[in-house]
Amino acid sequence: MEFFTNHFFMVIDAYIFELELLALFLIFIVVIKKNEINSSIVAIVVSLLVGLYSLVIGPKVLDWAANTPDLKHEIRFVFYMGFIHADLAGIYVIRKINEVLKVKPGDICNLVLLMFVARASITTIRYMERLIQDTNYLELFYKTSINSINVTSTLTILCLSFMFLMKNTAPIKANKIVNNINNYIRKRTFFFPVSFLINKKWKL
Amino acid sequence: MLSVIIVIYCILIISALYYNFFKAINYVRPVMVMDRLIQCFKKSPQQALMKEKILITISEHAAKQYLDPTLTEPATKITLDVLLKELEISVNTYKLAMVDQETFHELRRKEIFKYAAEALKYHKVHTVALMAGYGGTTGPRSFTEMFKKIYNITPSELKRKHNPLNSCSI
Repeated sequence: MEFFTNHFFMVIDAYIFELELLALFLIFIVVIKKNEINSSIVAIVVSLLVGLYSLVIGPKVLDWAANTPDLKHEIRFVFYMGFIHADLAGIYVIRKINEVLKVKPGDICNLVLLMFVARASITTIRYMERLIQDTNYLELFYKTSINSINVTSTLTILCLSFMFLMKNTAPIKANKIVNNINNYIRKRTFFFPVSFLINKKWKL
Repeated sequence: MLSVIIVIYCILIISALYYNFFKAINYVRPVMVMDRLIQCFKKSPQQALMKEKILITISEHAAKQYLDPTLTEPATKITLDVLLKELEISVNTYKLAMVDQETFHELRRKEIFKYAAEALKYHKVHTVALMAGYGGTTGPRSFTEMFKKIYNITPSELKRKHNPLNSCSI
């Protein structure tokens, strides 16, 4: 029980932060140098960004909570809801990017999505407990599960980014991505008033 | 009160999360169920009116089958194409209006058997089977089986209940 102290979790968080930055750097090298992208890279980048967000925002909110005990409920809401919304945004962004690029999600992408869902579900359960009962029974479960998900995902992603750097498959080329994104934007902005003004057919 | 609102909000967020997750991994079945639910909330007044119109038309056609008791061949049931032509709507409009309903065949069967129970008061079982559109050699048997499935009672038993003198041996 004493093994899982706050100090232990803080040390883990610090290492995870550095490892995530390293993985993000490696992935950017893969994308820029090899000029290629697939669903796994998209999922990995989004998960790293969401992970970095939670690692940056989490301690700041905890500090804020320590300084202002009067705003306990409000800070709890911001803390847990921030994580849940970040996970939701992560899933949404991965889905949308896959739709725009017309890519089928691979196994790695599915795994990352599952990680998001698991994390959000655990956070919701913990928040429900604190909101309804105001107890701390699930504290250990929450901390260990979230940290284990973060650690395993970061290490796996780091290994994967090394693998991508060494040997990369190329389902889509950069030109195709640009074309797909342009098509998507054209479709979306077709009914935008500016496009009516620009359009020569209307002679406005 | 505030905590209840937050709980509802959390449930909504989690449902949105799972919806996006299932959509992202191309798991069709839960997405279809959730889409149906969303459509129910999104349903416009025109769609609600259209739904009523469709249900009334199916019911009218089912009732018309029981008008002629001198049938020698099974009555023709309404088909989806006929219904769409009569109401001048497309299949998509039909699907959108009836998204929270049973399938067309189930609705038609329900309506036909609703009137069959009434018709048994006045006509014989094999005549009602013909009126319900069950003809041929296996028609009456299928009619009885389906009737029992819906009402948990055979048509002849129901007829005997309506008219107890029929069961009298004297």
